[in-house]
Amino acid sequence: MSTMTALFIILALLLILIGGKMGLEAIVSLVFNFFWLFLTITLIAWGFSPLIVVTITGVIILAMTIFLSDDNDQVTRVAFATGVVIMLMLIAIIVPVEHFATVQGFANEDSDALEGLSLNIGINFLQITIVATILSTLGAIAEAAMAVAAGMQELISDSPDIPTSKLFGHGMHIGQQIISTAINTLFFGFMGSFLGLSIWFIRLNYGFADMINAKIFVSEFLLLIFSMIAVILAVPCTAWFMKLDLQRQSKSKV
Amino acid sequence: MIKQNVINYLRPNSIRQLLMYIIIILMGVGVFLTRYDAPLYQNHIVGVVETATQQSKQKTTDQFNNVDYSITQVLRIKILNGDRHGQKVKVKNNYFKSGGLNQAYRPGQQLFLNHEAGNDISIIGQKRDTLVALMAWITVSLLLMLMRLPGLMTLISVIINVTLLYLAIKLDLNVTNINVVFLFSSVGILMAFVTLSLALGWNKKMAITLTATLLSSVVALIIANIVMSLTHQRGLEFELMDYITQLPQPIFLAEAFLAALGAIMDASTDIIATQFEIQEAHPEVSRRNLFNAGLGVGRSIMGALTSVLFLIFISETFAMSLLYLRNGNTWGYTIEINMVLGMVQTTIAGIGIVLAVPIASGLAAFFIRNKEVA
Repeated sequence: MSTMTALFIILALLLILIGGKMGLEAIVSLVFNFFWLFLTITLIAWGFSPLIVVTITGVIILAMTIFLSDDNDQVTRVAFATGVVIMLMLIAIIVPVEHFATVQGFANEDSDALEGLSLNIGINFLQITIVATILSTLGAIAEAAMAVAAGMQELISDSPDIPTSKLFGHGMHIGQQIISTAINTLFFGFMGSFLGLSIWFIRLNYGFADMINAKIFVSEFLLLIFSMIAVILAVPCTAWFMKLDLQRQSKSKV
Repeated sequence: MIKQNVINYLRPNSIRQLLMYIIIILMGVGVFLTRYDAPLYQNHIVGVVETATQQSKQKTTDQFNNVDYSITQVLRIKILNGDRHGQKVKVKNNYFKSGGLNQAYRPGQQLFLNHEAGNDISIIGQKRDTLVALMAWITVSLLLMLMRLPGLMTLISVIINVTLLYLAIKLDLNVTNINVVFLFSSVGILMAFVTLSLALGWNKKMAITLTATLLSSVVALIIANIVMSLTHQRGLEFELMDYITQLPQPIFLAEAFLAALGAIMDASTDIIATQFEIQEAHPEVSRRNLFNAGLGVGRSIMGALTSVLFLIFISETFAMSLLYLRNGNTWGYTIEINMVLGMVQTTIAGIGIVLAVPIASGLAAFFIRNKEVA
């Protein structure tokens, strides 16, 4: 058995053992997310427009991640609406920033890995970088939106007589409680994937000036920054959507 | 209406907040000034592209029938620093339209140039410091304006953690025969301590969260080690890791440990914070109910947290996977070469996240009630 298979079986067993039905749903969402990611790459390799493909698969990945990890309709509804809005906002930020950064494709540091590959593949690498950046923020968006939505929902079911005018402030307060760990999840997660590169930079004595201008550093830096911006923006957006959702509900009751 | 909410929220209510806005504006001015920092670069020649003219465009076809264009442009560049400050030079730039490794330059872009023997000038690369500063500024401003004090604490913890990581890498490079997994795990633990101290303060809640985090991540690392040796690391080709300058396997494990740590901290904090809240609201709650409440919170976040890491790791391999597919490789081979290592790291982290659910719930349920009994 390969190491990957063995570890995945352990993860799946633990998820089911600890999570029961929700664990099973988590497995489904992980497997499908991999499928959607790979489909995204394949469709782009076949020549479909990268931005259109990622907008569609992005919405699907958000839906799978959000709707399969909580049973509360209101929480998932609000989190999903937030997820889609924040994703579209990010696309609007990422496209111009990547256009100016021109950190697409590969850098000289990658030359070992590129040996024997043809780079002139006729696909716009700038758009590929944009797609990868959007995909890497999706998990963070879903997680932050869910955390704030779940927190607000709990607060409302605990004390239903909170005036709607105060709800936005409460949402922001819940956001303040989760922001530190949400940002640090991203920070540690990216650090995990940059460790080899960071050692490379320090070993080869890149100066500060060399580093902050290097294509490869800037491309990784932007990935981290966009995820962080996504998480921060998700907080007020969730708070507002939750408020709207409640107002809509109370109206339909009357 | 959202506008009213946000404006109310953002309006400065105290001198401290006013000071924050002034600092943000001053930092913004600093970002703007990096456009004019060329004289600070003493080891490089900096120039700004004034005009770019396309000279030739040639269609190319590789052995996989991918059509691309090889383009040559002539750039007129004005030098911005050093002895030749103010001089204008002409430089040729060759690139492929797809832009995998080289790129087109546009007027207004600042570049680093290399002055070779004679009068030849070649391009090293684009100057990107303004953009880096701008994006960092936007993030810091959003964090401070929307998240206030917790935002500031988050910022401080990230800065301290970067410093700690830098010191760890220095140690790794300068001490021979250092145990890499041990070194980075210890630094990771130190970083978790700093992060949680700043997020929660020094109290019982923080002590329980830290213990749960460390226990879960260390157990996940041990499970990973056992499985890797039992399966003889089948399917793991460490020599395929990117940017490797030393023995790859320990770096691989250290990466997985660090990635897992943040998410595990996230899960543990959420679980334990909720349990503390419940205990405060209903002081008579039993240990079992407290434990179940913790499990409930954990179950609903463990899948999303694993997805966060999964998407980060896989997005990194996106461009390379696409290149493999367009170079006539099969799906299986593309996944094997580019994605398996990242997937294994995510799976290890996922195991840690799932383990954190019962561990954090159990520890908190036990120790919260313990105080009441004693």
